[in-house]
Amino acid sequence: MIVAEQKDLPDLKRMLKGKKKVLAVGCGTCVSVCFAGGQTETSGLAAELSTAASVDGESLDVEVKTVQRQCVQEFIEPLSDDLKDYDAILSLGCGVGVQTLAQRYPDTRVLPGLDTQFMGQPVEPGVWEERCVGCGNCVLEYTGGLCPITRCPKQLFNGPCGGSEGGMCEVDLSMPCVWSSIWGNAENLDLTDTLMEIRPPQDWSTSRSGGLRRTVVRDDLHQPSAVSAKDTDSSDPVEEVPKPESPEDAFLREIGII
Amino acid sequence: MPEDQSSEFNVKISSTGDVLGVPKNKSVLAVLNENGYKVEQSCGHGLCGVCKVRVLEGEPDHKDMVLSPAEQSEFMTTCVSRAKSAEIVLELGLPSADTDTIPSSPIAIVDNTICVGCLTCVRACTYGAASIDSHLVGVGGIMGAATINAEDCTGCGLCAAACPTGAIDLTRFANKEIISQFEELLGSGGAVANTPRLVVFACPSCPASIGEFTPNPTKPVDLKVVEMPCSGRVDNFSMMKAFEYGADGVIVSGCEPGKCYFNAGNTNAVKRVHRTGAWLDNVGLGANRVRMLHLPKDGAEPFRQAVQDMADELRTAVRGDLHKANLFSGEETGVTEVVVEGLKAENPEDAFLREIGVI
Repeated sequence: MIVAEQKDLPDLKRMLKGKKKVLAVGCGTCVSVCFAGGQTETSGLAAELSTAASVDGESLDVEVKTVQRQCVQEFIEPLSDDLKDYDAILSLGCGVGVQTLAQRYPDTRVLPGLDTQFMGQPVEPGVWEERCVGCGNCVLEYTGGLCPITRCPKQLFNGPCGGSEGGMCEVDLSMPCVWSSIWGNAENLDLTDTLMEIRPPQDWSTSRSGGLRRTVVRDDLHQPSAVSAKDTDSSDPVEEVPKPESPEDAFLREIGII
Repeated sequence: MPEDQSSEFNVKISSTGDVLGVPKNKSVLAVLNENGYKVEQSCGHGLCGVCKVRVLEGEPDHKDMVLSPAEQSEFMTTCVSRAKSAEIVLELGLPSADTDTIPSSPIAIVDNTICVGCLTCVRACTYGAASIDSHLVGVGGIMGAATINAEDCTGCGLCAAACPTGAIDLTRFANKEIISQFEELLGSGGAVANTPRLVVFACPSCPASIGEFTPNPTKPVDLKVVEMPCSGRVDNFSMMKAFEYGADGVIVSGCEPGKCYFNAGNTNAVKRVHRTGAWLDNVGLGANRVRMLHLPKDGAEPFRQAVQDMADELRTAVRGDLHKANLFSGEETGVTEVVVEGLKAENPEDAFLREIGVI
């Protein structure tokens, strides 16, 4: 799931400076589970912000509304009735939620209350660790389910490197060396031969390495709709402009060859 | 508890002809239970309707918030409502032989439509009362939401405080009840210079809950009591909200370390108090305005001392009514945790149970 953290109060205060009435929008999915932007965290932040304002001799009214998932247009639609009353929206959703709100409500200032961190796993109550970087070309079949892109600081495909120390990573000795773990379980999973195979270099064009934002399209599911958050209409065919016929082709046609 | 204690009247039981006097400081429910007429109860505040009884004659004085006008023409909620006439006749069965009635405790209930299945409640509950039911639909249509087994639930409120979506609430000591108490206790102003307003989240055995706190008259403190089933019920939002309403300080009182009556309430409370302290540093009020007190069972004197100490520290930093800025310096002062050494009560669990009327 997406893991995020609340921005620090000084940053939030700076963003909200001069605002009198703010709508804090929480999200009931990922950020609830990582205790960053669910209903209770958002309410706690609202109380913190308005208390901070009163301590500074100002006034700030923060209302809270939590939607099931902030990235879904149907779930944020009901907010439209209230917006005229507010100077700004403080989104407690991940970066996707913030942008969904901003696109739907372009006339309202939408501010990010969270720093979205990674796709990760709740390893134990109160601890979330990064597990996937969304490279778009999953290699977990070869590594027995342990990701060397996310969990190796050098993103090696043929680890472990010379710095691997007692099964731990030289970059941070408290972190297990993922390649040590991969090899450690390889015999159990019958992966030893697979790991020795030479494979072509990883195709990084599908990963987040700069360039265009990525899209996934399923033609079997695609329903073009009037209400759309797409930023381009990339699925429509580009209209071909007919090329004028060359004089040679015109002659060959006249004499019946083409 | 009935808020208007002023009327005395009689209650007559239709089946037996018994006439019971209801004095000014007792609810109809308490009088009935004490006399062997067992009536089920839950919230104790006229919010749930579980204690309603049919009225056959006389004019009730309705103080509940749950019955419709049509229902009020037939029933009354015996926990809060009283009588306008000198006598009301209630329809009740025969008294039970067992006169030791045990008040039912609050229980936790999940609103599965906002449950995200994060398992926080399942992991937090020390009684195994919370589990995921794969047939319940959670937020956004996901299959599998939390459910609380009422029989196992002790009503400690740990899950309600831990839930990140607010899906879990208690039938008594509900979230709305806490906020409406702040509104009532702090919202209408009335701050007095040099008299700190302290909110204490008090469990049933706290000296504040059982009326055993008397402040020093020359060093005044305005102590506002918000009752909790356990210190573990108190969440960061509630503590922060008290400050938003203008409290000068917040105390969470709970059991001694390792002796939490509900197993893990006080350890969770301590962590939350520390976090609220960090928020208070952030906003410029200072972390030492929130404290956790660990009290032994006979804790009246240690409690009084701790409250008085806190009031004296905050005396020059009274915030006043909300629209005025306060003068606190905002230095990071750290959280004060007071472990009060007190008299060792014999059989502390029994003493607690006796205090809350279970044995």
